[in-house]
Amino acid sequence: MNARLVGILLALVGGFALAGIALQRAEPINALWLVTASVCAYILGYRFYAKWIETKVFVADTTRATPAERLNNGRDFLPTHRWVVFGHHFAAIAGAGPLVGPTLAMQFGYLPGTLWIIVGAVLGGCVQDMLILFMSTRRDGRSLGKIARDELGPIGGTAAVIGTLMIIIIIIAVLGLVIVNAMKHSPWATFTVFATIPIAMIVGFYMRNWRPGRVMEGSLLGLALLILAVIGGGTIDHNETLRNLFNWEGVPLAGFVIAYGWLAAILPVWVLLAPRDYISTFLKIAVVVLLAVAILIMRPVIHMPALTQFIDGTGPIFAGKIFPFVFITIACGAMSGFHALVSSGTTPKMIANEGDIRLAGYGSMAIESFVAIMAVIAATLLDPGVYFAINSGAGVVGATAEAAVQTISGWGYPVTVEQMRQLASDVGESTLFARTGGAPSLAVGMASIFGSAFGKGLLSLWYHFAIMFEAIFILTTVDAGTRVGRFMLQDALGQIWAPLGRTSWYPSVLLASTLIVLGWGYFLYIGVIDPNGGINILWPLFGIANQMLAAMALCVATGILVKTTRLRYALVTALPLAWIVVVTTTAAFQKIFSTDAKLGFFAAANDMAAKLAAGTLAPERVKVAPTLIFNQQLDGWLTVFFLLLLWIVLIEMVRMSLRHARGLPVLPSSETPYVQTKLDPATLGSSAH
Amino acid sequence: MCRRNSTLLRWAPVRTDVKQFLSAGLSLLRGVTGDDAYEKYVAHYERTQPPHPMMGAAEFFQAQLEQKWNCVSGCC
Repeated sequence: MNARLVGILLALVGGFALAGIALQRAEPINALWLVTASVCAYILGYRFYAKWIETKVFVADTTRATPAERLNNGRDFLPTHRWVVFGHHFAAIAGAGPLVGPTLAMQFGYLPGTLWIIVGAVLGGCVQDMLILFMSTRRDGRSLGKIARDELGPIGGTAAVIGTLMIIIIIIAVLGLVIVNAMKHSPWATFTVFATIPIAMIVGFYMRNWRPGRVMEGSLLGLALLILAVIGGGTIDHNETLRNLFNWEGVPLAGFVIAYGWLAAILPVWVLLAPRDYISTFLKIAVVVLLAVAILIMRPVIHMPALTQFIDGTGPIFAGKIFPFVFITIACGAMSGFHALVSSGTTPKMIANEGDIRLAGYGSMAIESFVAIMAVIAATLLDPGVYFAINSGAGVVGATAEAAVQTISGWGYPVTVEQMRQLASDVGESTLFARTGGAPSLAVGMASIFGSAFGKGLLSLWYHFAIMFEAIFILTTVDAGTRVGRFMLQDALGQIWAPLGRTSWYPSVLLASTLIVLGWGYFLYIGVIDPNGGINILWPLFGIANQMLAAMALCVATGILVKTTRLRYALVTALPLAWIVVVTTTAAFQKIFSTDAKLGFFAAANDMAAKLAAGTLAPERVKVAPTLIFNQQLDGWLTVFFLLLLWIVLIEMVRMSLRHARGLPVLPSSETPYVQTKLDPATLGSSAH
Repeated sequence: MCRRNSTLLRWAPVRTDVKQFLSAGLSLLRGVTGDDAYEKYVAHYERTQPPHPMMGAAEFFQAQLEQKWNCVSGCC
């Protein structure tokens, strides 16, 4: 009875806050409305919808032994306290994605992105993460690709593996571009990011040689050194000679990121990769908590309108109408296919009891979604004019400060050169115009939140702390992603010639690592030389790839539900699946077939080829034009490929479901047989009763 | 976290509560970061007494890293 009362109260408060957000158009609203609406939605979703799914749809059995118990080896298979699993899973799924996507999507106004983050997470993303976690836990913690192969057949399985590899390449490229754009001509940021490398190595030595396995000590040491590096960057920025040492163009910085990724992939993990990951986990938890506290203290007012005129598809940050592109731009934070890899990776091996799956799967994703809401707040508390000035490429708004200010003010978002100059000097940057990629504007937003809550005089330090924070995430994705990609590629190459599949054979390691780095390095390079900033091309491609993977994961989940439970319960995943298929297919069609050169890949290639032939391109663009034309065509064909992969898996799933409905034989469920648990739930704080 | 019978006038139980809360928070953080992995391994080893010799802290840490990074982990 009490639970029901609390539920009704939460629904009333949450509904009231949502109505407030949706209806209050005349004046700026306070960010606390967004916080209230989202938190109420998550709690309601967790307590009622997730609970219903847990008891009715996948029927968690608290008496059943999990892989962690049956295969317990004291290492990766290990029954773990539910809150530790929750924290581990959150740290593994959260990265730069939920920060960058929402920042970019704010060109439509704060309302569409916010609603999608809340509704998408509660009904789609959280459900996907939880169900895949459950299904993997019932299958000895097997990976998504393996489950797809076992349940849908070899075609679906192969498509899932290829899709995963492609998305890894695109995500590294786009995040690499975000960090290159944040470092470009910013000696302070460049020094801080460079400094993370020796710091990670020191921490690596500390954890391996000096105090083996002392992860917390090592991470705290790393954190302290990183803060020193941020402060040291300020000193460097004020010294003319040192300043020039770290003042670089985009292309050499891209070269640095590429070289770094390659080295991190071939060096032993303890040198760079593992210590950076430990520091990153630590920093992630600390900053998320700090940001939430700061927002509650500061209670910022949102200056961005609820909707902007750019919902018609003429936006400066990326092209495309509000439908489908808001749902493509915000992937992590609402629904993300990548999470299915974690849900079928390390987490299912730690689940002590099936009763803990709701907290780890649904709960962690709800927190990730809340991180996205905080990114929304950080982006929208800026004056819209400032937001657009930072995030619009020079090719769109004009190369000079005056031209940019005039274009942006002309849209109805007043901003002055003086205002931008003052802001840049406050945060310790030479300019904030055309700093595309989302990271600088997010850092400005985070710096104003932290600055107002904990001391305003330190704005430049907070800004560079935020940049360092994003860089740590992103470089972790760069090295971990390259390594994961390397393993997947070696696995595939091993099918062709067996020795290439040996993960410890050095020539094979070198070959596979180089191929993966060349793959994402190519897209990163093209993004850097693109006069419009590159993000407008790469981010939609990433969004389409990520949502395609989400659709594949939901296909696998739906296929399994159709086989194992009542047909109507399969709607729990079939409805989000239908939505994400419609969104991804529409976006892909527009990117392939649109005749608008801003939107369509092939249209852009043709447009540039025509301009090149007619001789109307500026001389500096003539040189890069052939590369850009080829790249637009390649992106177009990649989109075609993603679309095909998605529909192959979907058709396989529907075919199997129809066979099952007609009573024809299908692949049997690959669930492991029931074994009764011997664990005492009290010792692990499990939710089993 | 908060005991029902503790009143504002009696601090001792509150202090115990705060202590318990902090130590629970610390053990949670140690679990999430993997700081206690070796302790868990030793406990598991002593409980099950497997035939192979127990790894030292450094050896275990190394093996742990190899295992963690030889599969898909991490995210966007």
